[in-house]
Parts: sequence; C-alpha cells; structure tokens
Amino acid sequence: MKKIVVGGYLEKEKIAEMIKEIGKDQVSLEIKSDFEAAMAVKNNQADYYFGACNTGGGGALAMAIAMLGMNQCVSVSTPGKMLSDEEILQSVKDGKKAFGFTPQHAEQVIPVILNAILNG
Amino acid sequence: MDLLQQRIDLLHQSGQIDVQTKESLHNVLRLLNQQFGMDLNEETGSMMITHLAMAVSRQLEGKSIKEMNEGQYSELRDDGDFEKASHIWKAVQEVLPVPFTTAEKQYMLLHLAALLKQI
Repeated sequence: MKKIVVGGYLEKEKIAEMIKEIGKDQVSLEIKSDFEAAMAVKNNQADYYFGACNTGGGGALAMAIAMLGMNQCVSVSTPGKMLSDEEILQSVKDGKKAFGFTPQHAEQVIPVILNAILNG
Repeated sequence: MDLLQQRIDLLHQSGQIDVQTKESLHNVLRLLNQQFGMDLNEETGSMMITHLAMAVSRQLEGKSIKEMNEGQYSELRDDGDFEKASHIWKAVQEVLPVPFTTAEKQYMLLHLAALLKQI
C-alpha cells in the first residue's frame, strides 16, 4: 500500500480520483494543501506527492522542493512539454517522491507515474 | 508574521528565490493591499504568490515556458476580470526584478484573474 498525497493547486479532486481509479487498493489517498502535503512526505506520513498547477513547477512543486529538496522532486510536464514515459520511470527509480504537472497532461502522466511507483 | 509571509521566506530559505525576489514579493503584497485594497492571506494569495515567485526565478535563470495556445488565451481575454487583472499587472511588474516574457505574463494574468474571483 502506497500512501499518496495530492497537493498543488489545480484539479485536486480529479487527480485524486484518477489515482484511486488506477491504484485501487494499492494506494491510500489524502488531499491536502501544498504545504501540508509536502510536510506529510517529509515526515514519512506519505510516500509520494502529486500536484498540478498551470506551469507544472510553480504552485505544483514549490513547497515540495522547499521541504524535500530539488533532488526528490520532478516537474514531469510544463506547458507544451512533457517528459517521456522512460524519463518518468527513471525519475521514480532515481527516488523522486514529488511530481508536478499541468492539468492538461494529468491524464497522460498520472498512469505512467503510478505504474512506475506500483510496478517498478 | 502570517503564513503568506512565511511561505515567501521558506521559498528563499530553500534556495528557490534570491533575496531580491523575496523583497519584491513582499513589495507586491504591499502594493496589492495599498493600491488595490487586496489584503491577501495564505488561503487567498498562496497560489498566486507561489506562482509569481517561481515565475520570477525562471526568468532570472533564463528558463522559458511555452505561450498559451490561441484557444487558452482567447478564453483568458474573454474573462470578466481580464481588464482589471491587466491593470493590476502593469503596477505589479514595476516592482519585479525582471521583465516578464509574453508567456509568463499570460500565466500571471490568469492567476490575477483567478485571484480577483476569490476576494
């Protein structure tokens, strides 16, 4: 069971629904503010942070970077640009715990991130 | 110090913004309050101020984001708060340490329009 927190600023409910739909009983979910979500990962109360904002790296990740450090965070999509599936998989293997993206890319990146988290 | 000020300080302490940017963000909050009567707090202002912090940082570092597509920008222009957001933006950019690219300005206008709906 992986504990996932949804932080960021946009479409939090929708992101949580998508994660639950894909992860089913393999994930537990909480929606929090960006600050509280990042703190939960920092304190080991959650394993991973997902967050969206318009640019994929501002409100989505700033607090996670502040709490966890840039080496544990990755912006998987920004307007008009998205990491490849291979790059996302590698970022999970590299130990990234916080993932930021734009709402437009949520449906594409969430399954890839989750698959990497749950199935390596 | 309220949570919004602490948030700015945390962004600075974690190395995401420099001291000049930190001061400019405090100036933006003062400007919005004094000139436009927008007394922001963590609940109302955290999304905009966090975005602005990272937008300034991106531009100081020479990083770019892509402009909105025509559909997105058209939707923004049709927003009832677009004109007021543009007016506020003209004042805000005066206290920032770096000029904004077209793309970054578009996203700031989006945030300001969203902010106007909240307060």
